[in-house]
Amino acid sequence: MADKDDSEIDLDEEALTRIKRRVLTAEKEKLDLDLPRGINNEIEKIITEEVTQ
Amino acid sequence: MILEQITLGNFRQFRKETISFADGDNGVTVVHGANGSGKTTILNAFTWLFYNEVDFNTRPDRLASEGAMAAADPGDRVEAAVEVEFSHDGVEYFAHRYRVYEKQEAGDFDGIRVDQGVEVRRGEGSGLDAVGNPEETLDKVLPERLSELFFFDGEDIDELAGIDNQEQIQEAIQNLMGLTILERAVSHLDTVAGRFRKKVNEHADDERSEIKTKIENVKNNRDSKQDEKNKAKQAKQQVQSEITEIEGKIQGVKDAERLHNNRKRKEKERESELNNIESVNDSLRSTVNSHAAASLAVPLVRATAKDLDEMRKQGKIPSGVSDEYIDSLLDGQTCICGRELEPGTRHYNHLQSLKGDTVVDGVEQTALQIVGHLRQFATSDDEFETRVSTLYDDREDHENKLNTLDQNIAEIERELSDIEKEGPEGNSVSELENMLQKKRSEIESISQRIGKIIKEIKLLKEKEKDLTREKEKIKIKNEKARVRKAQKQAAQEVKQELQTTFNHLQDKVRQMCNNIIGETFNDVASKSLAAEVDESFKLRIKQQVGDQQVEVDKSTGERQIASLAFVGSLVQIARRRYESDSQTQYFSGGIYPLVMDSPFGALDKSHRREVSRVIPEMGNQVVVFATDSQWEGPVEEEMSEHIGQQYWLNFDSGEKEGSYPQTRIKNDRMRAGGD
Repeated sequence: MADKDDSEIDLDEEALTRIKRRVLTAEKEKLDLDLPRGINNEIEKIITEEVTQ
Repeated sequence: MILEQITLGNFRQFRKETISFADGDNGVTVVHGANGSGKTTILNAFTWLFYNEVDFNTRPDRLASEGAMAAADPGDRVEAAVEVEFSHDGVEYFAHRYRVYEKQEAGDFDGIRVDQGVEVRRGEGSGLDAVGNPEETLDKVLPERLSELFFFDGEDIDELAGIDNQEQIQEAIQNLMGLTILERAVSHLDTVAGRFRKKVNEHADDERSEIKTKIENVKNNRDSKQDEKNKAKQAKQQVQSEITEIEGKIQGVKDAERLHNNRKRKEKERESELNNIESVNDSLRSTVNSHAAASLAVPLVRATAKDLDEMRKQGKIPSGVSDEYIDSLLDGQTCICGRELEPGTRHYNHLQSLKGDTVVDGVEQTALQIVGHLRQFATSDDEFETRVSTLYDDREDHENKLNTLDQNIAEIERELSDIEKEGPEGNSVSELENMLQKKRSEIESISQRIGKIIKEIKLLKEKEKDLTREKEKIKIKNEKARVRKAQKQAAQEVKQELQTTFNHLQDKVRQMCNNIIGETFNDVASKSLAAEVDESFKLRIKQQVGDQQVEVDKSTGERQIASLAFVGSLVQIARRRYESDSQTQYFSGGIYPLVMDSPFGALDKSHRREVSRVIPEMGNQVVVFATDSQWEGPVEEEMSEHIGQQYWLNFDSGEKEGSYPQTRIKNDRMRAGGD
C-alpha cells in the first residue's frame, strides 16, 4: 500500500546507527537462544525509542 | 569451542568409556573402528548431548546398553548418559545428558523411561556452577543450525555438492559467518516498516484538509454576514436621514411644528420610561435569583425555629451541666472534686448559685443561637417580599406612564394627520406623517434584520472556535503520524543498509571460500578439475577444456572432496575471522571442531592421500572416525604426524551365552586387539 506522502524525512544518523546496533544485538540474542518469538515487537520498540520526533 | 573429553555411560553398546580429544598443533584425534563397532554411535552421542537428537538405523529408541539392562533386575533402573567436557571463550564447561529406564521384567532390554534431563556446569578458574538454562547454554555455544557442518557423516557429505543443494550451501555460509543475523534483521525490519506504514495511514491527512475547508467556509460565511450587516447599517442610516428630512418638512409647517415638537418630547419621555421598566425588570430578576430558593424554605425555617425554641423552653435540650445534676450533688453533699458540701458553707452556696446559669452553656446555648439565626433568616425573607413588592409597584407606575405617553403620541399623530396644509415641497403634513411612519417601520425592520445578522455572526464565531479546537487536535494527531512516518523510514533505511552489507559479505565469503576450495580441491582432485561456489551458491566442479571451463558430472569421490573442501574452507574462514581484530557484530566467525565419520569412505587410494593432507588443516580440532581399511596406507602415512590422540574401538558382538554387544575404547592398538 502506498503512503499518502512519500516525501523524505531527514533522520538522525546517530539514531540510525544505534538502531542498527541494537537490532543486530537483539537478532543475535534471539538466534543464539533459537527463540525468534517476539523479535518484531522488540525491533518496533527499538525504533520507537530511537525515533521520537 | 574446544572439545576436551567425552564419556559414554550405558549408552548403546558403550558401558563406561571415555575419549580425550587432541587440539592445537597436533589437533587430530583418530578413532579406529570396524563397521558396526560404534563410530556412528559416538557421532550420535555428540548430537544427543548438545541437541537431544539421534539418528540410528537400528533400534533408534533403545539408548540404554543391552548389557546394563540384562544385568539389572526387574524394577531396577539403568541410566544411559553422555558427558562432554569442553571450553568456549575461556570458560570451562561440563555437560551431562541422561535418560533413566526402569526394567519391567526379565528379558526386557528397552525398559520404561522414568526420568531424563540435562545439566550444564560452567566456570572460570576454580569450580563449576550449574547453569539455569542448560539447553539454551549448549545451543548458544554450538548452535544446532550449525550442527550438520561440524558433526557429519562422511557418507552423506557429498550431498553438499549435489545439484539442488545451493540453499544448504548458502545457509551454511550465512550461519557460520553470522550472516544469518543480517538476513533475519532485513526480513524483520521489513515487517516492522510495514507496521509503521499501517500506523501512518491510520493518521490520514484527509481529516486535516476537511477541517481546513470547513473553517474556510465558516470564515467566508461570517465575512458575507458582516458585509450584510454593514449594508443594513448603511441602509438604516439612509432611512434615518430620510426620517430627519421628513421631520424637518413637518416642522416646516407652522401648525404642525408645535405638535411635532410635542411628539418628539413625548417620544423621549417614552424612551425614558422604557429604560426605567427595563431597569426595574433587572432589579427584579436579580432579587428573585438571589432569594427565591431561600424564600421557598421560609415556612419550614419558621416552623423549625418555633419547635426548637419550644423544646429549649421545656428543657428537652440537654445542657453541659444540668440543674438536676447540681441538685444531685447538693443532695449528696459531695462535690464532683470530692469536697464535702455542707449547707450554708461558701462552697455549697457557690454551687447552688450556678443553678440556672449552667444552661446557657453547651447545647442549649447553641440551640438559642440556631433559633436566632433561623428567625433572622425568616425576617430576611420578609425583607425580600417587601423589596419585590416595591419593585412590582415601581414597574406598574412606569407602565402606566408609558401607556399614557403612548396615548399622547397617538393623539398627536392623529392631529398631525388631520393637518392638510402643505409642506415646503408640496406634500401635506398628513402625507409626510404617513411617509414618516413608513420609514419608521422600515427602520424597525432593518434593525430586526441587523439583530438577526449579529446573532448569526455570533453563532458562526462559536462554530469557528470549535473547528479551530478540532483542528488543533488533528494537528497533534498529524504530529503522531509524522513520527510514525519517520519510524517507518528509519526501519526502511536500516533494512536497506543491512541488505547491502549482507549481499556484500555473502559474496565476499563466497569468494573467500572459492579461494580456499580452489587450493584444496586442486590439491586433491585431478589437475584438470576445479571446484567453486558460483553466484547462485551451487557447488560446481568444472573441467578445463581448451580455453573454457565446462561443468562436468562428478564422481562420488570428487563430490566428497569438493564438499570437504567447502566445509574446510568455511571453518578456516570462521577461525580467521574470529582471530582477526576486525570483528563485526554480524560477521564474527568462530572456532569450531570438526567431527567426521568415515570421510574417506568413497575415495580411491590416491584421493585418500590427498584428502588426508587437507583434513588436518581444516580446523584447530579434527576428530576422524575410520575403519582400519580406510586408514591403512596413504591416510596413515599423511596424517600420522598430525595425530594428537588415537583410539581403537574393540567391539564384542556378545554372541557367547551371557554376554551382550559391547564396545570398549582403548588407546593402545594391541590391547584393543584391532585388526
